[in-house]
Amino acid sequence: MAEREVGEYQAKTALIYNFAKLVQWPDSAFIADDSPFVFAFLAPDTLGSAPEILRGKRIHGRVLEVRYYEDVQSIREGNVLFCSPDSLAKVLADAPVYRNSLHVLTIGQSGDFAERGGMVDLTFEEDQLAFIVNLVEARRANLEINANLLDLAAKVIVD
Amino acid sequence: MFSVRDLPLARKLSLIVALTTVIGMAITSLASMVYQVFTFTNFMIVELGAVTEVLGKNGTAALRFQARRDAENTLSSLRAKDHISGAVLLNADGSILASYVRDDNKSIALPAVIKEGWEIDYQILTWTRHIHQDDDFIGTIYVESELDELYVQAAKSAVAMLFITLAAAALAFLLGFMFLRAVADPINNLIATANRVSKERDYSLRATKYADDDLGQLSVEFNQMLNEIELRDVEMERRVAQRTEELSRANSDLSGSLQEKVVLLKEIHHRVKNNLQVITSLLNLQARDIVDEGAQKLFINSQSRVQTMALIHERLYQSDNLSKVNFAEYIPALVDSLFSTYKTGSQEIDLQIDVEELMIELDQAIPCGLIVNELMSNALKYAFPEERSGTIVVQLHALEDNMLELNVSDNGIGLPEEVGLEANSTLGWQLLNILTRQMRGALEVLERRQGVHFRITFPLMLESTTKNMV
Repeated sequence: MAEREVGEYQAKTALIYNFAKLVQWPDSAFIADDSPFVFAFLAPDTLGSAPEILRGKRIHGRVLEVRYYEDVQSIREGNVLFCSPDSLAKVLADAPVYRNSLHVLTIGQSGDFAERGGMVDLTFEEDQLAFIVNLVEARRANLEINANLLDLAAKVIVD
Repeated sequence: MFSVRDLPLARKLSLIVALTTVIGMAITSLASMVYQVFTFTNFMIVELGAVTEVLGKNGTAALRFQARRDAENTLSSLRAKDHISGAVLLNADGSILASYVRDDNKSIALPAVIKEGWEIDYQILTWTRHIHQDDDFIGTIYVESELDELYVQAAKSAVAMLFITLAAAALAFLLGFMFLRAVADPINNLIATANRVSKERDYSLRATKYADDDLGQLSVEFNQMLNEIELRDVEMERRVAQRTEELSRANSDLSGSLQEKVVLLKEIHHRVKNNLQVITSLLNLQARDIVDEGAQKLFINSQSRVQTMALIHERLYQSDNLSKVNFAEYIPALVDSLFSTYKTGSQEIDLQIDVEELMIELDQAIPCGLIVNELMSNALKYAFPEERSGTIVVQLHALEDNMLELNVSDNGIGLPEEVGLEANSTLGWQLLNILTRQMRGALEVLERRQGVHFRITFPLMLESTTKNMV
């Protein structure tokens, strides 16, 4: 893995972590009060080993867990799901995670992830890390993204 | 009744300073309080304006993305500001995106027309600010603030100012009492000196000069005045002494002159008396050679009358008073003289003399003495013939209204029927009537059968009137 990629993954991991901190999940998103907050990474977009740094951290008062999945069917839990746009349609249609909770923040890293039904698309603008938010999808999943965070977005899809 | 006017000067000055301080401090405090209220109000307006601006900026994204929770979170940050009672974040169409009310039991009454800017009344201050995003109007933030804090601040200021005013007044009174002694002490000293000068009449006292100020000048002037009074007194005493000496000298001269006149008068009376006695002696010598008994009696009568007048002058030069004769001394001497002149037999004639201490002027004394002489000599010659014994009474008393009463009586044989009392009967009677008239008196014969009793009443003449007597 190129050094540039490592840096990018680390930056994106940090962005995802901080982004998640500025999103409000409904209480029904968690099975129990002590349920962990799960960051799920679906192969092949796993940001390498960068998410490992998140292990043991706490977010929204819960222990953060990082889980890696190889296929859609194996995704059982996840409050944040990082996946490719190609996987997104399958995830939305068939992922078992949605049997437990519809309140999953989907994050991808392609130019059209948000337009294809994803919620947050990590992208680059003029060599600067940026993000696009599909607020319609996020609100449909009852996720409330901090307005100030939205203000920082390169684009917000609202309709 | 208490009166500021009667207070001591130092106390009065202290009171004036304290009152002036209180009034000054009260005006200053009031102005300061008004200024503070004005400043605090401005501060509240500016602060609330800043708050609305921050809220507007923070609420921009919430408005833009219609993030109600974020909007509410943004507004809930106002809980840190106790005086802010509520706020509303309005969308561009006027609908409420989020609101905040400190007291859940209250609600916010938005104005009918929302105008940008601040408004204030007695209860609340409101700030309204429109929110724009890239020149697009996206909403409005409206914030309400209660003015309780303003009133509390004003009340605190008032209490603080009151305490400061009272403390300043007390301090001013105390310091005034201490420092104003510099003014009061010279004046008190001046008053004390003036009081002592007034009470003790001691013009050698001087007021103390404390400093070269107005009061010091007043003390100098006061002392100068005392100097002048003292000098004037000395001059006056000198003049009085000089005048007294002059008067004393004049008095001494007058006394000497008077003494000379007294000596002269005494000498005159003495010489008159001596001359009258010479006449008496001549009449006596002449009478011895007269064979005719009747003529001899006439000589003796004349001798007796001259002797009566001589006795008056003798009394005058022997006494201290050269113009009046004391009849209490004169009558006994006269009676003795008459006794020695007329009593030739060996019969017992008792004399009873009752005369008051009466000082009679010379002009009245001579006729009065001559009257006594006439009546006594008659009694001695005719009342007790043939060696009969009896009593002759002479009385002279003062009556009311400045009148005198002379009584000459005897218990002899009385007046024979043939003896008339007419004014022209005998020389004796003529004399009696003339002398009584001369004294402006009245002659009465109270008894003529069993002895004789004459009473003459006459007014006591004063010096001025006696000189006019004829």
